[in-house]
Amino acid sequence: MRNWPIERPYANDNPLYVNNTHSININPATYKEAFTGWTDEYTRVFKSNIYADYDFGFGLKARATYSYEYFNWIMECFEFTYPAYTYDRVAKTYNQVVGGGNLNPYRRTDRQHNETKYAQLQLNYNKKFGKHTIAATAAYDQTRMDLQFLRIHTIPPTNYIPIQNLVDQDELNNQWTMSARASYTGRLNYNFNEKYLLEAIGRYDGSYMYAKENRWGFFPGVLFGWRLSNEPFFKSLKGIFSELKLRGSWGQTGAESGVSAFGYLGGFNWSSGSYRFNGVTYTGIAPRGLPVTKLSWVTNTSTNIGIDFAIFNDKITGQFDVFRRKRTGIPAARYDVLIPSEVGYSLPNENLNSAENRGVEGMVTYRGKMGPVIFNIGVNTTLSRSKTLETYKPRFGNSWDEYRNSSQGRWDNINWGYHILGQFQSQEQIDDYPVNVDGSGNRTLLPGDLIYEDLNGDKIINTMDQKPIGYATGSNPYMSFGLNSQFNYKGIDLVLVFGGGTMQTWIYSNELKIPYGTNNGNSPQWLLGDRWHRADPYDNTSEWIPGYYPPTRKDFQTHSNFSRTNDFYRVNVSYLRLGSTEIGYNVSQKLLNRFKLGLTKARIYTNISNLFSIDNTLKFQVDPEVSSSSGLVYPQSRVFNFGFSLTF
Amino acid sequence: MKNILKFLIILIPLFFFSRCGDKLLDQPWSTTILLESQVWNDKAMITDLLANLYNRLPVHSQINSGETNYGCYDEGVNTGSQESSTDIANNNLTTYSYSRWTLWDYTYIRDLNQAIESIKKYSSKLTVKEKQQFSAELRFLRAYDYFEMVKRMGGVPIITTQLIYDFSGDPTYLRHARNTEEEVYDFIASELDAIKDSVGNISSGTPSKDRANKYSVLALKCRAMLYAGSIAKYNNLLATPITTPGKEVGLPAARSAGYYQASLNAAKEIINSGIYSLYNKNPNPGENFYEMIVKKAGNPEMIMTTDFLIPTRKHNWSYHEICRTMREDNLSSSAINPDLGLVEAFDYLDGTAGTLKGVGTGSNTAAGQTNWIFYDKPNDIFANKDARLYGTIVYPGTSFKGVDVEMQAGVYEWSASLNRYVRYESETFHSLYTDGKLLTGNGGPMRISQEVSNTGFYIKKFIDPATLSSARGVGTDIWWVRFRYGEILLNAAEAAFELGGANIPDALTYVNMVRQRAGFPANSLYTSTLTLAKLQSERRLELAYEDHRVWDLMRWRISHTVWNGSSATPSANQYALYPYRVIRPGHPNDGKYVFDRFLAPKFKAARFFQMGNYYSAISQSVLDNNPLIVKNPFH
Repeated sequence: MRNWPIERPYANDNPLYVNNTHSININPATYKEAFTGWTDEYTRVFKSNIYADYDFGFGLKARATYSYEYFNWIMECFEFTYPAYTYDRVAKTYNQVVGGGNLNPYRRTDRQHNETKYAQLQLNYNKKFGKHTIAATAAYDQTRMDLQFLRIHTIPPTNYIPIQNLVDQDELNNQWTMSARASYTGRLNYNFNEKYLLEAIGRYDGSYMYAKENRWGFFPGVLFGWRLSNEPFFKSLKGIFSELKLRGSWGQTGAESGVSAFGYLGGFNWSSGSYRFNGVTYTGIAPRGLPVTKLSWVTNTSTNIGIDFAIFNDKITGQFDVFRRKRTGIPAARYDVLIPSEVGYSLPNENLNSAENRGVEGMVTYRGKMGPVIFNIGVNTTLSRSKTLETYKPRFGNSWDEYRNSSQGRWDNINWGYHILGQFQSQEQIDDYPVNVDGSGNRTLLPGDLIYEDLNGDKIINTMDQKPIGYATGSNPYMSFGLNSQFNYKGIDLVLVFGGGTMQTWIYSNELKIPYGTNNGNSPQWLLGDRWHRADPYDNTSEWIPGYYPPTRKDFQTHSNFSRTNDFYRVNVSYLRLGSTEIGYNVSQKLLNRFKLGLTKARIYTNISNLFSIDNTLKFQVDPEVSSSSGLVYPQSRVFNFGFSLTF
Repeated sequence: MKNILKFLIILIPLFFFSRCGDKLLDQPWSTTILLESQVWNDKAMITDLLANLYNRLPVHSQINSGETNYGCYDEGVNTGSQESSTDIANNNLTTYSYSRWTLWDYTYIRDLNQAIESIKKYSSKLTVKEKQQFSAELRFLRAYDYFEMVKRMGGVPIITTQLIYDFSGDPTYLRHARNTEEEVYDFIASELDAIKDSVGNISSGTPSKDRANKYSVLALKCRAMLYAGSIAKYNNLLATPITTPGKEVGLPAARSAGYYQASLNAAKEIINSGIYSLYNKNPNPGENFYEMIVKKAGNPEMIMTTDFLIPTRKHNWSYHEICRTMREDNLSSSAINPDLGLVEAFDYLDGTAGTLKGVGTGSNTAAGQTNWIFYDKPNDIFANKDARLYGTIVYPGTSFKGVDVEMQAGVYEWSASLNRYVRYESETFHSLYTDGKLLTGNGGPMRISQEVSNTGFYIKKFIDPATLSSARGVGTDIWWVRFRYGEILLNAAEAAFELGGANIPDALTYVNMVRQRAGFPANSLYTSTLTLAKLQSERRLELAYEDHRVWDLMRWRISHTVWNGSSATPSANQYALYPYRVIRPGHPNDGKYVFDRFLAPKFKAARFFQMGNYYSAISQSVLDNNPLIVKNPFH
């Protein structure tokens, strides 16, 4: 989008000479390996598992596991220098442009290796006494990881030699990080006659991230299940319900959130800033702030109630769940203690805030048969939102501040912005408009420009006029759904998997909002084509022709149309995508036998991922699952596979 | 029994495992953190700490940081920015925010106080002299930081010890009120006097250019006292002097002379030491002025610099600012363009005012062309100007780094029917007109395009002459000048002029030394032509792009009149000068060059400095955290 339509990639369209365009590094003519250079990336992984089992013979089994993983990653880049030309039409010569092309070569080698060592010792006990079944597990496991990274960066004097030399080196980057975690786990299961199920879990987790006295956390949990369909009183309903089960659980887990490794140490950070003293560069060391010693694990408490069922001879099966996940102990600073700024440090974080996620999800599957067609269709859906419960002693300057900035007891991801009432239809309307829309007495406005809602009636548009204008942007849709189906007809099978979402907002901006972009580039046709404009672009007295978008302006990104997040450029995205589909044919046994090729099985198939989506972002030529507001990212690709498999 | 034994066999190792969790978690150590015990008795590590602290001295507009600020005053406009979505990049800065220059740098002060106290307490293996020297150097940095704060904020709390919170829940005992502006300037002076002789960093008579020593201490004092002197004088000459009841801002007029004297004394101590002199190695005064900054070896002018070294410590000033024509990268260049106002501020060497002659209005009408002088060569219009123009700015008709700058905005072709010249321009580099000759040059200027001059000029100061220094990957290691002899002479001249009387001859000597180096004849200023306005102009020209202009105007209390926000005031607006080739076959003017002057096309809002900008706003969180802090006026 940053290329101009008036510029050609090659000078005089001669592919031997790259044209010196206004911004050559986006000239597509340079996107060739022989021209601009190359990047190669290699990943190598070695993984091994060793384990030993021992059976004590009375229901107790032991297993010891050790696993070792080595991950190695290498990246090699070489950016070449290349010239750029202009074509002299009169003299018919190609002139190399001084300072054109690329004179900024580099050669970079990155190496990284990770070593992960994992050990586990586990005891399992399983025993059945009549109708009682008991299972118990105790385990200890530990992980230790080392990561080392090395970058060597040189400025090569030629495009032809990829070997790096010390005299050309301008950067060396070395990193080495380590981590370690350990945990003790215990689990007890009790099952009475496959009717009542009970489970208790406990974890004791330790992490290197926290100071010694706070590094361990205990996280218990319980689960129960009641299979109603196995009860004697349920017999009368057996005709309808082949299975009905109630489930419930409560459990805690720990999360290492809002903590940085070794935050509990004071001292100095190595290699922070540098300075040259008497000809020598010295690596700086930076004093660290106050150590974070009071921080420990964030606790996730999940509560869940669910039901599983199967009806009409298992034709319809399904499950419904209501869940809530509460996070407590989210790190924050105790800010009611007002430390004067002049002390030069701020108070370290402690586990103070809390938040939660709530939602429901369900799934129903139908298995059926229509003549020779056997099929099953399943639908599922999830609705989930997160909410902040408590923040540490919130403080607000005034009620507006609280309205605007409080998160206490509120759903997260409030999407603040301005509401657009409409567009100015004429210069007279702008002249008579009582509200200062653009902050400059409406002097910058033209017909077609956006009319902002003056929410508080003070005749000027500013941050006080913002309100929630949509769902969360850039995160998962609040509601997502899926549809899985399979069909079978005489050896031909078809699988369709749909996925979709709704209750999600996308606000387009940058290149998709501002004509000629933020990069002095081009704009999409839909933005320029349907806009307010003068009948004659060379005559500033000619009449205005209405369009959908405001009139274009170049180099005026701060104009009121563009500078404020508003709902004119808002799309509440909904989509249903055929995520993957496969159609195949299994050659019948009869046919295979006839050809006597020794084949026992033969199948041909084709599968396609992302065949189409039904959505409301088609107009913007943007994939509905793209969260980038400029749309300048790769969308999901569509992949076609054709294949066959033969079994002898 | 056998089963129980087996059970024990497996339980015993499990018991050992239960001990190993903590041991494992102790194992990882940070590969990037040094503990206090590893630093205070190791001179190499204390030096590394100093490297961090020197590197963190506050910056406003500097070649390696804050470059866009040069396009916010009257030294240029922003044009080459890739990310052009801000008001600064778009030259649409309708006012200066009250917090534009806010600095409340107490993390730095805390780190310095901690280091000063720790060296005293823990550095038992260092000699008394070494401890004294490190501590003096840290106090220099602290005084430097307080000067940076006082020149922006007025009086700030003077904190000289670590403030340690006891986690009792009641931090009121940590609150300190603002000191008066006078107390802060006096604190700076007394600190610098105290450390002057113990700070060291002079080896066999040669002071370090990087680390604090007697002369950089004197240079800082010279500048700080000049600021104090002029604020004490000119703040009180305002119709309503800016002050607060508690004197947190504003200095008493009575102190003015004392401060000027302290500044002059410090300057004289540097001048009379004989260690420094003006750089004067190239007989061509224009080239000499350019070399004065970029030639590092044996440079007698520099008192304190921030040095760089390729490849370990480099910056991208050349990449950002180099003239488009000789850029060596396919991105950037030409980010800040000098404006015509600065170019015209350079006088002619005969002493006449520097206004360029024979310039059109750019209106593309017959009336706009009546003033034209037809020049044979594009650089003829700049002939006989103060040589510092050539050393500071790249202008049409010259070459730089061995390349002709090729600056031409377009052509004016004679139209017999209209009886005037008609203008043609393009936005294409090195485009040719229908006559087969140049239409628009590789160096612009262009009205719309980015990464090319918008004003008709480019910055030359601090640009590295080395090959490939304007390529991103290579970079430049031209040093940043903190204090140089030229500034000290101008400080001395101003202080002496303000003191008046018997000091006037000194003022003339010092300012004429600087002017003579710029190509003026000896004694070009004399008693009757020496004015404050002349000294103000000298500072603007000599110290352009060295981060003086905005602070100088503030201390003279003229920012609000120079940058009054009016589109009718030339000093508040930024102008361009576009060169054109004349086409009129058969006429004597054919092939000559004419110039048009107009508002820089990308310049959108006049500079507007308000009274509330003289002292910057203290942020709300600072006020919330300490009720003893009072606000600055107008906020």
